Amino acid sequence: MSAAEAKRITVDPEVLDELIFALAEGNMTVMERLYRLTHTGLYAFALSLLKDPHDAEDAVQDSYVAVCTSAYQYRSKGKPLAWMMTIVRNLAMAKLREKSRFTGEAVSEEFLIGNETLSVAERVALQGCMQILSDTERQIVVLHAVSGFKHREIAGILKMSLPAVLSRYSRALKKMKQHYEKEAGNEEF
Amino acid sequence: MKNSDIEKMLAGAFQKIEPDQLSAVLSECEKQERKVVQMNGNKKERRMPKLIWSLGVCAAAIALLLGGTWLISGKQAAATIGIDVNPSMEIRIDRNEKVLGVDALNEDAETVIGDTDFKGTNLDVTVNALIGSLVRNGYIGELSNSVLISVQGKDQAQGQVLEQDLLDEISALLENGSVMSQQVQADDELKSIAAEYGISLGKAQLVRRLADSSDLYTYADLAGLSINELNLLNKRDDSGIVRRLGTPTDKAYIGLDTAIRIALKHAGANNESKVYVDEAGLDTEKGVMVYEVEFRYEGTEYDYTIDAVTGNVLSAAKEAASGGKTGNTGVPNVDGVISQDEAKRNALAHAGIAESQVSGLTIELEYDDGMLKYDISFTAGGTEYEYDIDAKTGAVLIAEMEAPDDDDLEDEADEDEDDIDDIDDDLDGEDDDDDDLYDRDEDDDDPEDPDDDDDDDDDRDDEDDD
Repeated sequence: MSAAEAKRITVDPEVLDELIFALAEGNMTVMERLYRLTHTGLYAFALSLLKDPHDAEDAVQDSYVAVCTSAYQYRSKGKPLAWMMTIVRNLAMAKLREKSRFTGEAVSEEFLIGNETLSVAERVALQGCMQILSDTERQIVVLHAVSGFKHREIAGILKMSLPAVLSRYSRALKKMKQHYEKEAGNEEF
Repeated sequence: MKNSDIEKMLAGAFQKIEPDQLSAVLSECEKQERKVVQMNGNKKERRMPKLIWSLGVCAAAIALLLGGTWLISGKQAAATIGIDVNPSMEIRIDRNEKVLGVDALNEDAETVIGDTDFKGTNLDVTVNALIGSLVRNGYIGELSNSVLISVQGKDQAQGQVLEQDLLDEISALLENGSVMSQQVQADDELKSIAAEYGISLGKAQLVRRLADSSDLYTYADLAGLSINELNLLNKRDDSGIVRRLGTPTDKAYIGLDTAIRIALKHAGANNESKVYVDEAGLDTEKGVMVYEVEFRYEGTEYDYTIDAVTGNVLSAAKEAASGGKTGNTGVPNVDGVISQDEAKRNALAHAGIAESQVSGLTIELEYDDGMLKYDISFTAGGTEYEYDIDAKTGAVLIAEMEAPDDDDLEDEADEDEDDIDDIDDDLDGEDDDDDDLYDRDEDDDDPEDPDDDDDDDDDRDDEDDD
């Protein structure tokens, strides 16, 4: 295993709650902290939904604005991050509907360009995730891998049944593994 | 390769490729806030949180969440709104009038608040819900209809606007309610009164106000009373400190007329027409609501305290009336009666006489035929007049006049003696609207009966009949 072991950012839901409540009171100074705790997860999810990095960026920005303005409606059920992901998903779906006029685009490889810091393993993982998996599989894996959601929570965010999430998740990881093995012939890990 | 390893790689990859959007996000959010502030012209429409403390009542309904609340400790409220009926609660709000929480200050309030989590709702939604709960649980109703709203905030001017909004809003909500409102300044004395008696700051301020304005009450007397009772006792116009809309109900009590009747009966004052009432009204003694009735009867002054709910005579005292004046025209202090001035004006208007023509005017509040009346006597142009005026409505009940000594005058048409129909013996004191008022009409002169002796309608003797 590569020495550069990525750490999944796990966020304490109580901390997030507090930040969102502060936003509800118009306290903008917590925005930066909220961003740092949640941005990776939001962007990854947005990218898994929209596939295009620019679209994902726009969606994430709109999502944070929406979080600000809807903060006063937020009711704590202990799932602040899931609440934010739902906002991302809603915005992404709206964006997809806008774009559905266009023919299905190939997944751009843009997200790989210009980032030389990726390790080989990381690059393979990312590639596999974005190019091999189906849309739903990708979204499930990203939510699980980057933000640490449980399958039950993922089912809630994606509005799927739990069995459906479980089966797609296991299928997704099988595909990822196969992808890795295929690439192993080409690269050294 | 393990699943977890794959996932770790994926997470790492995203961390590295994610764009830095921080400054864009911050500036967009900032812009949004400013746009909202500018957009918000009509103070009744607000959909978004505001940085500026601004007021107005939002009509949009937000669903209330039932269930547990996750409290953030140490949140500083920008203002507190106290609601007192018997239950006592406080709503804490932030600068944007969003509710931070609702605290119960006594057990009754816990019933009212129940399990509801008000955090994050708009103030008026919370107020609506709490008032509704107070009504449903029977704390506001026919027998007790008063609510006290106490606003305690850092910003004076805006606190007053908020107070006025709440006063209007809650008055509109309650059909026959009486809403009192005030700003609360929490000084040390107030805090200690509140702490000692276990009441809210708002109620403590009302109690202190009442106690200070009257020599009769101590804090202990008042602190245990309900807001409705305090409202009933707060008779003077106090709009500098406490504003009020609506009238407190006294349906829980026996009523003033009944109380007077009980006192008279106890005193053996059987000839009602000799009763002169000096004072009668709701009061409190030893934590209980009572009627105080003071009257004079045949040379004796009586002082009664009667339990307002049961009618029991709690105390009775009497002493010989201070010498001299039987026609005492001291201003009586009785709940719900018109002033002496008004009664006098009605009598004079009826007689068609200007006050300047009048001499020897006496006016007394008496209790007769089960009701309170003003007994007014005066002389004008050589004629003696006597009037009974309904003390509650001001209607002329009896009007008599007599030209002294000159029988010949009786032959003149427009100086008929005048017999007026008496009122019904109705304990509610309702007027008989068919009162035949002072009759100057010549047409009634029956040649066979110039003195109207055949009139049988009178219930009482006309004292001046020859």
